[in-house]
Amino acid sequence: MIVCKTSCITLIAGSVLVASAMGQSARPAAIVHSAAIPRLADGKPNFNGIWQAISGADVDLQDHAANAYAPGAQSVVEEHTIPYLPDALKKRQENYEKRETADTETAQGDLPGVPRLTYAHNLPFQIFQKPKGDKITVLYEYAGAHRFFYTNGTDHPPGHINWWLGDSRAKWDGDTLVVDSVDFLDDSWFDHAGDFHSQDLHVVERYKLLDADHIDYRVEIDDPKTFSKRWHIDLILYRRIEKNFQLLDYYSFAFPIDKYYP
Amino acid sequence: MNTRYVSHALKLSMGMALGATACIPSSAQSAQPQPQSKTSATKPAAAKTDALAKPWKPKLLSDGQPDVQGIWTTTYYGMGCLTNPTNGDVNCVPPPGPRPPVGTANAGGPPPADASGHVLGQRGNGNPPSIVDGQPAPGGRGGGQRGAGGGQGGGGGYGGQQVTAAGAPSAAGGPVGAAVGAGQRAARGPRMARNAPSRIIDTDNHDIPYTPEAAAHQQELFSHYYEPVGYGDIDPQQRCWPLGAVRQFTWHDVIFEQFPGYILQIFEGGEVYRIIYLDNRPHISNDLKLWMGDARGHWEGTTLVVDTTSNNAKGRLSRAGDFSSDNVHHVERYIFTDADHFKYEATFDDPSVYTRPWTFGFDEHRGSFGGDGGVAADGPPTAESQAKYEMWEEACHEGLIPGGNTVPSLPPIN
Repeated sequence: MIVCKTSCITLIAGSVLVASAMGQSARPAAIVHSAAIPRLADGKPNFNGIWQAISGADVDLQDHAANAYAPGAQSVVEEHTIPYLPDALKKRQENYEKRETADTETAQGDLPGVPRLTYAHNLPFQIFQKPKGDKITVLYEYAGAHRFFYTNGTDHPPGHINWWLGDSRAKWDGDTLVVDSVDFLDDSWFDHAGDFHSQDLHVVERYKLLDADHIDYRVEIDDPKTFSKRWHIDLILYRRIEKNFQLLDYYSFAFPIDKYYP
Repeated sequence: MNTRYVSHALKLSMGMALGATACIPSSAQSAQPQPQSKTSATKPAAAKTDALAKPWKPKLLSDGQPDVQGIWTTTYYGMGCLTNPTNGDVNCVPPPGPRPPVGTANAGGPPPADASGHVLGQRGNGNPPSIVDGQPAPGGRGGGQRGAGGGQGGGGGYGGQQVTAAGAPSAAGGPVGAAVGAGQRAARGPRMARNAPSRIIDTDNHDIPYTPEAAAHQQELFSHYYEPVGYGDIDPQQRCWPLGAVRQFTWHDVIFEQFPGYILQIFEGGEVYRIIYLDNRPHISNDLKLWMGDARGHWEGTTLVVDTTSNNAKGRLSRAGDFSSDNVHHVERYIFTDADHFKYEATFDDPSVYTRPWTFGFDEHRGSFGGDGGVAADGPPTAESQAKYEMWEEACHEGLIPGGNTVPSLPPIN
């Protein structure tokens, strides 16, 4: 269990940030403050711990009003709206209409792709990092998923490979962990509102500690087959600091498991 | 994925230390059923070399844990039939009528092949630990190189017996039946079944000590394996659901990662993981059930002991209907004998299903990979290729199963 030495401060700051995230627009840069960040023995920022998004991103990255499915929330897209190509925008609308059955995350619990895995149902995930490690391991409560961020200087493997969670290679840009991912299949959506991508999706995630207990999570989305230009998601990730908090499991299935496997 | 694997056998044949080759199946399985061992010492029946006799002195990590990081694989893959894990491609075809009486099970050799070359296994008294690979698969199939369909099969066709493909000295001091000539091993011929010790290692008949009611339930599930009469007859593994803390080890490889206070087990088959907490925190409430349970561990020398509660037991133990209830409590012992091998023993304590606690056991060794970081493997593994190996995504989703969720012979799902 991660013991947070700054828990008192964090509780206060955290509550402010929660309010901020819920009540303000997507850009969290204004709340950056200069608290010291934890570091590993190799001097790199220490991301070890359990983190969780608090946002409406999984429901709809863009502005959406409350309904019976979920609360409303403001857009987490930096550009406010997603710059779809005309045909892609039509497809997005079609997806939206059939989202109850066509969103594979909510309909059958499939792996939700990247970056959606980070905020899927706002479930917690745990980062495991060691000094001078050749990769960073991230375990997600969602569907027992894991990702490896290889930090050993290797490049993506050759060819396009169809993976739900892509292939991730990471490097440091100062104190920011930059994770570059390609090799996606096109089955997953960015949210429950039908926002989608092609196999050409290229995701660059930037993880930056704002203080011991908050990560600025900024994601660049590039997919020339779907979007007219690159666009960005920006979220805050919050550290879970409750005593003995741990990941549980979240598996959902289309199959009525409890009926046939009581 | 499948082509990235090169047999561990190749590694063995490359001249590994004797201490390593001594832990191949015939010797790693003890000659007598062992109650769960309370020490890290093993009693290999065969070829105990000086190297193996010395206690392993592991490299210690910063928090004092023995360093066991890396990729591990089961010596015998196969989840079809616990009592004869690798008996052919199709395991545990139910015999008509009641279970065979003691002494008439398939121990000692598989039943004869039918006209198509298939060898049908049967459930009953399990293979003893002394059983060896008397009838190997044709060359090239038994060495740990995976065949097509590895993503969802998980059955008896994978991996196989390094002892055979490597031509390693399985007969060295080995139990009865071990003296199968190398020429015989290398023979090409119709696909034949192989034998492996029962995974139940501490009962007299090497089978699970079900209560009569539980045995009847298992037999009911078992008898409907090929012709399900209800959706609940189908092994949940066929839907890619998590298998539970123990059975998951029999489905492809697993990475062990160690961090201060944690051991992570990240399983390739079906993309699941376990977090084993080493920080003495209490278990979560046993009222809260999880697919892979709630694991707490500690080290006793070079043996890792893991206590797992909160098992939802939705995953079964084999294709043959073997099961636990969600009352089951596991104590696992990972008995490391050297840097490349450990014996795995897991107790199943569940009075609502079993007449006594019993132990699920098998051997694990390090996975070994050739080629470029394990990709498109041609050629033997090297230290470099091993270091470059990456476990790639092997997602397995229920909706991806051919035919989807509905089984044609059953009523539509509602």
